[in-house]
Amino acid sequence: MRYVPTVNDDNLKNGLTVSAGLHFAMFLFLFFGLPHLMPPLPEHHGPIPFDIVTIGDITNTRIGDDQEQKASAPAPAAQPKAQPAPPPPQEKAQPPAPKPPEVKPDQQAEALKAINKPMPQVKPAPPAPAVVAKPLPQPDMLASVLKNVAKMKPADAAPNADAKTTTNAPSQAGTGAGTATGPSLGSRLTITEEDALRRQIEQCWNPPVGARNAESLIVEVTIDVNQDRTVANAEIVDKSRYGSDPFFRAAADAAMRAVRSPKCSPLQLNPDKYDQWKHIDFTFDPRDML
Amino acid sequence: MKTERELGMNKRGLGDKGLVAFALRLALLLPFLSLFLPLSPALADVKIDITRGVVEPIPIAIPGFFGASANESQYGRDIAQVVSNDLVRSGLFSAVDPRSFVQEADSLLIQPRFADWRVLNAQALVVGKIEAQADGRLKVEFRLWDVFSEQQMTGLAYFTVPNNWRRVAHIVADAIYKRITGEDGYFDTRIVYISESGIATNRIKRLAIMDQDGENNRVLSDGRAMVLTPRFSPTMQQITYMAYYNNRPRVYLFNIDTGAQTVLGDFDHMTFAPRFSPDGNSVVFSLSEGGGSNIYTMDLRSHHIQQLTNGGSTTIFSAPCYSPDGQHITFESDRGGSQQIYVMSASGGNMQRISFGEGTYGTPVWSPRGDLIAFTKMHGGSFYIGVMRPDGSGERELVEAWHAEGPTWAPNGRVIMFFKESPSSHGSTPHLYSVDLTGNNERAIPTPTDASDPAWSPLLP
Repeated sequence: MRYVPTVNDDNLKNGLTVSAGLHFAMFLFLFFGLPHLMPPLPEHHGPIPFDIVTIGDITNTRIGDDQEQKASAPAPAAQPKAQPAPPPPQEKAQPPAPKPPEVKPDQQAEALKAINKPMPQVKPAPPAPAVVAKPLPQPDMLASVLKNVAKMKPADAAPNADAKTTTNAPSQAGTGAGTATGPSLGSRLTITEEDALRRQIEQCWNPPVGARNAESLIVEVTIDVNQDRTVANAEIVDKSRYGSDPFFRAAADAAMRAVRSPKCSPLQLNPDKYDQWKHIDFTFDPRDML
Repeated sequence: MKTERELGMNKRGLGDKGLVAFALRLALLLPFLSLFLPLSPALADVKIDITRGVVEPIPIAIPGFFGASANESQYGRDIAQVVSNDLVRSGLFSAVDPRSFVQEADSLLIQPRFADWRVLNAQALVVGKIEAQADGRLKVEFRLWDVFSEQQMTGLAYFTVPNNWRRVAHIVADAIYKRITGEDGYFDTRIVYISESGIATNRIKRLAIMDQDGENNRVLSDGRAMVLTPRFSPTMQQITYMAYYNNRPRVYLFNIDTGAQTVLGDFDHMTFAPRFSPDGNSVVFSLSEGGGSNIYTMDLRSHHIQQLTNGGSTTIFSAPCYSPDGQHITFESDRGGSQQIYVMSASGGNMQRISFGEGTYGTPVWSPRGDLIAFTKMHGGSFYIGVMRPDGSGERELVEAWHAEGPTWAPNGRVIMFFKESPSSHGSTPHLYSVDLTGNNERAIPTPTDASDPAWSPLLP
């Protein structure tokens, strides 16, 4: 006789209950996982290796580099051409003819005609002598006072130099953005190289602290640099103000002394990137020091 | 195949009108097209912002001025020394050691060897020459060179009697200072001060005058009357001060050239703390009234007197000083309970307190530049000479001493002179000092006697 199960069979009911219970337990196990009866063992992280590099090795990118490279990839002709060998150092005569001296319109001072004659043209100065008597480092006597003054200034009066430095880099980088004929990534001055040059010139700049309206005495100087990293020529951008404002003229002279100082020659520049630094624009801004 | 018509360029369309229209369209589009052009390579120059520098004196080389004769040569050395001393004392210059000079004075006149001077770290070079003239005068000429650029910065010549060589040296120093800093110099100026002598119980105070470097000292009063608070006229060689003649303290005027002395008004009460207006036509002073004092002005031409403050007999208004534009007066007062500095309009009224630091403030003196007010501050048992802006902001203390007082400005507003004294076993002995606006360049001014209450003259006419 064949056994036919029915819903009233107790064995069948028990089996279903057990099966459902086991399935539910399995569901809980999958959902919550095993209980943590023991504290977790401490994790052992392996050492993370870091390569110490200078900023300059990596931070010479410019805005638009990606686009530039993508655009130039299919058309190699549009890529920046490898610069030919740098031209020989500019040996042209640098100093312009000396200007006639000024004569003080003072009744006591009788202008001497002979003295107004321009002196014989000075032979072009050779690059700054390699051997320069290095002056002993002098303590910055005014630093404490200047700091005090800086504290008294409103916080928003002038951005600090660091902020300016950091913001300057992108803006400068932006200058070269999109230049189809721009230099390749590796030939550009890195931020480290620019900082090195900045620090060098800062050591040679004696700003017009204490002058009247010194905050307005911002001087722009453009220089042409020889391949041996000496300054071939330096010019004040705002020549009209130089001729009309004695305070600006004094500040401009101080800026010119900074770029021509033997202490700052030769300039701290990467010799391999001559094409990048043969023209340099400096802006001497004393506002942060007032 | 496209025809010319399809291309929109038929022969008629290429006529003059079409060309003009095309050119116009192109001209209108050019500004927009230029936005998409790559930047020129010139804009890719390296740009460096220099926002920090090293504030230090400018090294300057001043060899003795050339003179053909021994006498001329001696004048040349003396003048160069005075010029050098003036510039170094300003704190803005340092003199290159003459022992390291690499070129003789005569060859310097032909052409400086700049490379050699650069090795000495000289940034400026002064080359001069002395020539005795047939009429007995001296011709003093000089050139100022920028050693780095090898450019002449200025060149001047002066004629003077030999006895005036020191003043010519100061004028040369002023010219160099102005050319390099842009500011007027202050070396061709004089200081009037109180010369003190005698024991503490019988102190003799006399009016004296000297060059700003302490030379050419002269005593102007005989010492029978005590003289205090001398002040220079900004426009002429005239001094105002307070003196106790016949035990009556009053304000006087003294003409340096003529020696004439006149009393300023005839008041029943004591007048003191006088000071000239910027145009030199009036004097502002204090007049005591009971336990207080008030500020008055007197027109020196009409002798018209005007009272500017009205504090009664209990409040002190004193030490008035005009702003350089003559529109305001700063003064000290205890009207708020303690002695503080105030600013009011030159006609009185609209008083604003400007000193709010700890301690008490007095003797405010407005800078000739107008940007700062110098003051004396007393706090914690010490005296301070300081500066603040006319609105009271930016207070800075330049000098701290056991006793320091009486600030007076150099005409260019960059240097302050004052007197300072320290306690000693035989009583305090005041002396004159100068300090620049940085507070770091403090220098003693040599005087033959103890000295107090200095007042700086304007540039000599």
